Amino acid sequence: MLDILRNLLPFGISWIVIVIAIAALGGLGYFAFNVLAIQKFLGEVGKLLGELFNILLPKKWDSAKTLIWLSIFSWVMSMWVRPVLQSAIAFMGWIFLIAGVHWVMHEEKKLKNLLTVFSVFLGPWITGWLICYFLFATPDYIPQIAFVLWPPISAIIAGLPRFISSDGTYQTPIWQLPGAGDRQYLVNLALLNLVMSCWIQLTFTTQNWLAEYPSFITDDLSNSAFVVNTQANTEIKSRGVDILNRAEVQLKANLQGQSWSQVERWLLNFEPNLEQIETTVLADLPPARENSYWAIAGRILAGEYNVQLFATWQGPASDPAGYYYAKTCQISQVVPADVAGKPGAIASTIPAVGNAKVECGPVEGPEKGQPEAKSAIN
Amino acid sequence: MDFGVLPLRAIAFQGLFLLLAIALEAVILHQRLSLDIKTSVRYSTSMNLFSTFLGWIMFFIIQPLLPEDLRIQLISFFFFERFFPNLWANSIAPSVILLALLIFLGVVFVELQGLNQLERLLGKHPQDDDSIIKNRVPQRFQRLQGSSFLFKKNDRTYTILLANSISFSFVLFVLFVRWADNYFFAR
Repeated sequence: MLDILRNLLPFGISWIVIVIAIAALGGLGYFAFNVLAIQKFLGEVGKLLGELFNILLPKKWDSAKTLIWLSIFSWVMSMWVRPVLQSAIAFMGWIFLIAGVHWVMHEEKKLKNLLTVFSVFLGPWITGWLICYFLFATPDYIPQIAFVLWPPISAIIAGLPRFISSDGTYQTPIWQLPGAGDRQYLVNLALLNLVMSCWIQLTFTTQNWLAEYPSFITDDLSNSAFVVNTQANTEIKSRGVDILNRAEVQLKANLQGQSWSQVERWLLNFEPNLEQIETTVLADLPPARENSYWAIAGRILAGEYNVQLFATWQGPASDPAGYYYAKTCQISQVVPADVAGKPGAIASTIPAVGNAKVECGPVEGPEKGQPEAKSAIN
Repeated sequence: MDFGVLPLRAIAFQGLFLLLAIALEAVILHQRLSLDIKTSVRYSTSMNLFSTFLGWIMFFIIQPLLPEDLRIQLISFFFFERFFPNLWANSIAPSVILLALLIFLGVVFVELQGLNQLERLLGKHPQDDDSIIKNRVPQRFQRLQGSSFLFKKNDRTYTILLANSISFSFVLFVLFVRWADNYFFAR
């Protein structure tokens, strides 16, 4: 037999084939030995699958689960076809999903009990959210209106059953005018949801205000009777930090590599030059209403030469005195060691010996008050 | 959009004030308009939610139209509970008092109209009841029936005015307690 195999296959592989065959036979034997255990295991799996199907599959054709399966079916089908047909099928899928979810919350008693809080059934608000999402949302963006219209649409869904009664003879639904008690309930339901809508809109108004005044978020909001900062210790930087970093760039653009006499002339004319920097920096900032409340100030410290820059906040703040950020820059002459110490540096970034170089520290702050009041050395 | 800052305190305060106002105004309605307790609570809920909703709508319409100097005062108060020293700083206190008075009168008017419309919607005709009482009581007893010489006992305007005076006073009292708490026990 080995000879036949040797003839059929090239030498070397035949041995591997024989080894694999023996291993497979052994595995089969092991399987046969354990067949009882595996049978039991498969039985358990089958029972589990049976229970799962019992939950997932509808028991009769007119059921909420039919609709949900239809929506899943539409979703699967919509992945196969071209965009126009895809959106049409997806549209139908959404209709099936909304109807199915609304139905399943009424059909399944356990789910209904779970969703009933203080004898208020929350189902309509889930359906309402699905409808808002379906109407307004795109895959990557949920617009404001979807949130704002969520309570009123849910209220309509919650109130609609009061307008429908059953025809006595044919058992078909007909419109009816709700009774006086129902009308009172509907009025309060609608008004409560409209007020909730206003609260959602207030949330968006808060966001809009924060977009106009982004540095508020770095201030202390704990005094407010209106807002809570839920992420108080995030790494969001005040615009003051940004302003000082941009001012540093401007300062370097003005002084880096200049001859020492030019630097001294610039420092003699410090105030107007600083105003120039302020104008440039504030004009380049990303636009926001709060930009007009920032000011750049500065002073020349003792020593040869230390310049301190301030970004001062003059708008609304938790502290009535306001606050400021500070940055200290040292302007010095380039010594031969600077050039020699950096062998790999590109020649153009290092000024010639004897010219000015500017080195700035990190932004410090926020400090309370205004910087001018604190300046001791000037 | 990053939802780090949420107006949760505003919502909580409004919920609290609404509950207070509904409870107090329901008591007044029950006493003065001879309504049963359930009905007066429902009426009071409708009226207060209605005026609150209209108030918010007014706020959302007016807020973007305010001049920037005035709007910054509103924003400053919203976030930091203090007004901002600019050219409006001196006139802010009288403006707030005037605004509060206007809001009070507006709420009284809206709630009165709301109550009338609500009863019409519910198919009740309060004016008829009123006139029946007026006709049934002989002329000479009318002064005894009235609780005050300006208003009849069942006068709806007076009832709503009274109910709102009480609820606004109570809300002001709660705000005062909050202010005192911040002022005397500052962190």
